[in-house]
Amino acid sequence: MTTEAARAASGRVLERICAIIKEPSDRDILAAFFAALFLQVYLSRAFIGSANGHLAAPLGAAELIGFAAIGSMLQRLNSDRILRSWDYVAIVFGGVAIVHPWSRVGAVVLTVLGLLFIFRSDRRRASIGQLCLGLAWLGLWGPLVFRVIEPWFLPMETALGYLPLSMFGSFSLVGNAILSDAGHGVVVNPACSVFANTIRTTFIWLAMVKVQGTEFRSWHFRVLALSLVTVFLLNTSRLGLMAYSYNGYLFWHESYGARIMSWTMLATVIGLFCFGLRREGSS
Amino acid sequence: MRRVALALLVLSGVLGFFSRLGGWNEVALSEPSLDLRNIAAGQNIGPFLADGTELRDRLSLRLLSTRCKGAIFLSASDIYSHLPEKLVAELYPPTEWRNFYVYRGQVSTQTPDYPLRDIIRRKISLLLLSPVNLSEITLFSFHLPVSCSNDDNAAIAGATAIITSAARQYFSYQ
Repeated sequence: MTTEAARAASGRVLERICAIIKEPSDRDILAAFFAALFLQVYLSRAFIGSANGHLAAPLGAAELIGFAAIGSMLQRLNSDRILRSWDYVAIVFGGVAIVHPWSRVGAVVLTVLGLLFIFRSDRRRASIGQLCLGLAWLGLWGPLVFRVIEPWFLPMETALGYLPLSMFGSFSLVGNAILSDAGHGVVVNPACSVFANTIRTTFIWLAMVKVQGTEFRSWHFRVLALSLVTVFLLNTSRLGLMAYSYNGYLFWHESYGARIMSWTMLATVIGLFCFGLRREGSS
Repeated sequence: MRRVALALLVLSGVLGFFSRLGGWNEVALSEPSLDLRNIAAGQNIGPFLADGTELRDRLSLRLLSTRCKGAIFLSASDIYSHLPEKLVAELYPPTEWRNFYVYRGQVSTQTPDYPLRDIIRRKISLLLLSPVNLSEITLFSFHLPVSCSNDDNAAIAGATAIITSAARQYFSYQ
């Protein structure tokens, strides 16, 4: 019985594949592009990163949720024709370009596609464009902008982490470093900054709004603002805990503390979006 | 047209994925970096003798010299992301330490500029898969006790020895 069911299922899959090859729809073309992008730019880096240790695996929750949202948008396309001839050229050219091993090429391609799609009247297509730009922002433009604003952003963030600490002991603030009189000090590096967390939070928010299939409402932006403030407070408190003592630094930076904090941030943000955005959907 | 597009996309996805797993990936493209922990205590670094590492402003190599009684600290950072001089002065007060930098075989008492054209050139080299020279991107910071005399040539020789040793390790790893 099970074998027959499996055979029937595989027969249906084969039939579907044959139908796609015979007459691919716009949805199939876009699905092939995003599958190629996911395999090359995201999934392969996750394998290489975990095997080699040279790369931080970039396949985080934000990217996974983003691709789930793209999948959801593609499903809504059905067999509608939404692409123009120039779009095919851009998609194929982009699909071939991402074979280059530099992962930023993927972000550049996503930027071009995002700009091509975002201004179109079809909402589904515009949403795919927004998600493309969001992924490109995560992978390339966000870090690039951060490079520019880093000289004033990091000291400001460090100063906010230093403020509550001054109540618990004798600390001094020098640029993006907090030094204690006990001889311990931390330098806030770009990797420790809340900036990356805020862009990931914003992208998760965008993806979840798109999965719900709703238009942007003012309520959505309030939920986003609340999440950004929460992420900022969590990261700032982590900075304070690391600067407070060397043991604190070891736990919150080198040990389980870093993982606890990132999971707490993710759970808080997803929880806020699940409840906050759903409330709007049901009202 | 659609069928051709689909075929090219599937081909690119499969080829790209397996070529990355096979080694043509960002690890092969990544810029070399210096890890001072690879320098064993007792190893000669130009005219200096390595005496282990210590976590100070960042991971620093302790160096001994026949011309200096106290330990000399050396740290290496990317020219693009070195510590601000103000912070260095806080960690190594000028009343107790002489701080100077070695970059591209030149000694200076202030951190050298890293012009935008060099950043762009570096990114283009990465994009074109050209190897990046470690000496082009590494800034060495030397911190000597004030009682020791400056020797620019010794510092340059020390930095060059580290680059040579690291490049050997990097290419043997590759």
